[in-house]
Amino acid sequence: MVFSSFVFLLVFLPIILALYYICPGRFRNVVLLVASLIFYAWGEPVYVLIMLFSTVFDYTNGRLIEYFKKQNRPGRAKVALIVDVCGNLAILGFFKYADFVIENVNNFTGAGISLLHLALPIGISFYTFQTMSYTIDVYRGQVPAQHNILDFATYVTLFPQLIAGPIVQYKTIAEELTDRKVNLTEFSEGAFRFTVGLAKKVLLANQIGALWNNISQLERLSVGTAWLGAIAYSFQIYFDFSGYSDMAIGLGRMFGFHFLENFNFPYMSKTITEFWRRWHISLSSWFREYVYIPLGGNRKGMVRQLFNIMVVWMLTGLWHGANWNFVLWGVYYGVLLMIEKLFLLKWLERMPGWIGHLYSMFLVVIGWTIFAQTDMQQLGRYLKVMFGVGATAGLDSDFFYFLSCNAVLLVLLVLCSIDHRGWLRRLAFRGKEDERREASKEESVFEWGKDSLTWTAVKPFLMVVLLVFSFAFLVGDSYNPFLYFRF
Amino acid sequence: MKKIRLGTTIVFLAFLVLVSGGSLLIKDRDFSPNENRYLAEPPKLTGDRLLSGQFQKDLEDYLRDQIGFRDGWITIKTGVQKSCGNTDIGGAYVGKDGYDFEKITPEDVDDTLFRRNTQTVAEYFDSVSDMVEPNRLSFLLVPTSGLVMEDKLPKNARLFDQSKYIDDVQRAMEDYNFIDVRQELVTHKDEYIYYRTDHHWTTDGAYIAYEKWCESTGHDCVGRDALRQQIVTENFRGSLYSKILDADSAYDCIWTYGPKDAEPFGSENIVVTIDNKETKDTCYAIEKLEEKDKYAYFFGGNYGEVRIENTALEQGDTEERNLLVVKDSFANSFVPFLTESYHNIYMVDLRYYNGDMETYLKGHHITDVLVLYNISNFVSDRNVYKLTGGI
Repeated sequence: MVFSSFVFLLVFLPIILALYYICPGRFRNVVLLVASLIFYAWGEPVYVLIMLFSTVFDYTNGRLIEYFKKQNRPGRAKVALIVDVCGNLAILGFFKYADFVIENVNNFTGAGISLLHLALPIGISFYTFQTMSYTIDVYRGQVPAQHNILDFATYVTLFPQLIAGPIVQYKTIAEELTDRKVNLTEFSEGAFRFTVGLAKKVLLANQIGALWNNISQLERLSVGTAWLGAIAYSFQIYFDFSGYSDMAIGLGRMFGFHFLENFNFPYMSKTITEFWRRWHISLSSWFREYVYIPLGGNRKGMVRQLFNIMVVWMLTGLWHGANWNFVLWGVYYGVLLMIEKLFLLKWLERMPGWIGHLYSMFLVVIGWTIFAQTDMQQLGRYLKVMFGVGATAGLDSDFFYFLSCNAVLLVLLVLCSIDHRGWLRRLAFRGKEDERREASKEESVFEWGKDSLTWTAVKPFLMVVLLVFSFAFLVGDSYNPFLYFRF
Repeated sequence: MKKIRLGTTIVFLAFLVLVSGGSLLIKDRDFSPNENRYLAEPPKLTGDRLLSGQFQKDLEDYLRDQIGFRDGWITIKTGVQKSCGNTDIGGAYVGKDGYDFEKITPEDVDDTLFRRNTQTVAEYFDSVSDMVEPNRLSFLLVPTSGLVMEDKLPKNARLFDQSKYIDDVQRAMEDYNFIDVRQELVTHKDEYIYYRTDHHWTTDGAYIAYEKWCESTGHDCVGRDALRQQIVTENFRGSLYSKILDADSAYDCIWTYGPKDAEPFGSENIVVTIDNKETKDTCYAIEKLEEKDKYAYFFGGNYGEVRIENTALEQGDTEERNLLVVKDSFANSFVPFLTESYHNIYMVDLRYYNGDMETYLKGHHITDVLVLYNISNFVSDRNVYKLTGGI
């Protein structure tokens, strides 16, 4: 099930919310667990078993690690951890990468092993990473092991973040799993956040995504059209993904959970290093915490640090998909980050801000172009056209047509991509300087809002508009005139 | 503050419950006239369908199709898109002065299919040229409104190069009578020759082609001054309207022509036989004016085979002339003009007719053949091969 489906919005969500709030506190995790299993099984009736296996497996290993540590037998605890991590990686590797490996073995050796053609279980990359964070943290002694298997299963399967993240580490919500409060403020903020996320997905991402779809299917491209397509995709992936994270965070709050922010206006970055601190934060933190730092991070000399960066980024690339273009994309960012670390970062800091923005966005758009196209030949052709090789022209009528149809949308996308919190704050706290300064301390636009009466009052109206428009576009996408019948 | 916050919560919950409950209460619709398709029914729940995911998919389709005020939601979407300056909506172009246009991009055209279709017509003409004089074998290819009224098309809108395709057909028809109406239609582009909300030409557009047809086949043309126009409806919203669903969309008129002091062409001394079964005494289907697709006023829509017999032309009076029209829907508003000139007109629509066309030609004593297609249909139709390869 996805959040932007009618089954979720019109049937699943209202029923689950009602049940959740009718049930007394101690049964609420059970409601969430059952709901999450239905949510997952809706699209993956069979693969839900893998997730259940994973839950039992990690629960057992967590308990074992804790047991051995209490017994003062760190060696055995380590074995349990290694078993757990290998088990998780084996599941992920088998379902996500088996065919990719076989294909490449075939290509290099001509072995002719037949492919498995396994469908990728939805969200497997997210929940295996989440459960690994749990056992590792138990091993490190950062959280106690969860003894209640129902609570643990609720964490693993929690539907708001199940299929597209953010990657919620166990320690983030360990306490809330057993003790959380829901009140009107939490619910209304959560509902608003969810609506904003839905609007980002349906009104922004899907609409600009249609432009990318259009352009990526053209055989003859001008330089301008190719860039327009790449920019369209860059907006699509940002608003799609951050919209989904907003919906997850919003839903979490409606049920009393607080997930960490996943995006922080990434397209405002002045360097690539900064970009990766603002983009898909939960994934970067995961890799930093569980791969980069254990490898030695920056504490073992420059050569080792560069090596670590490269390892992390190859893995990050591969995590996004079993295909060479994702590896290339990871290596691309690995190299860029190494260059920045070596000298460029210092150099950029002395430059005016706009150079940094231009530099970062240029590289990010190229990055998304690599990310968007799994066919390496097509990718090569597209990149060449962006730099004028094999292009029909610099700018052509197609470019101007696409631009004219999407001009307003593009302006909207830019406005939503830049950090507009400062302006909104000034607007909401007009004449109340002290309050504004107080509110500015809050990180997210959705947090400081609670301090401003104006903003709170605007929210219900904004919500109606966003909901109506989102539904109109959701229904519209299904509108499917079948006109060439009996004409 | 708390009250306002309650507002957000209420708005959110009320919206979901209203839409959900409203859709549940409103009776399901079977058919969507605008989309010309049957809407999804409640899916059947079985173990197999649940495990395969089919039930889940069908339920989503069902909810989409049966959501309350479905067309209203889409109208809102179109309104938002239009006000954002988007002119490419629902697979059609929103043009100037209330004109909508068919969207057929260069990628939509299958060149192989087009070449095969062109070749098929040429081969058919070759094979029957011993029975019908070559100059009586005619091909009329109608351009779409996008070519004729380019000035009303959104600037730079992507459209296939139809003139190139028409030129190609013209070259292939060198030995026969190719009727090129592009110039004449463009000359009259500021008149009401295409519907605003439908992809067809109007009766005026068809009349311009009729003049050209008379000229190239040596018939006497009924002059414009001698014509009487009768408007039959002013409430037509056609196929392009259905695609875009624009609340501000214009309404089109549909009209007929006939001689002054007489009924419209094709409604007097006429016997129309549809698919060898139903007979009528007129080319017009007045009941279709009550339906969504009012263009079906002409002949009631498209049928495999329609025979139009002119009982006023006595046999033996003149040499008997029988016309075969191989066509798409563009012929429906055109053929009434020809009814005065032929004893019998046989309209064959290859999308619904599967007989052998050479035998057909012999069996019906055909003296003239007209192939009439709209260029966008001709490049995409997968039934033209039946002309030479029918069963």
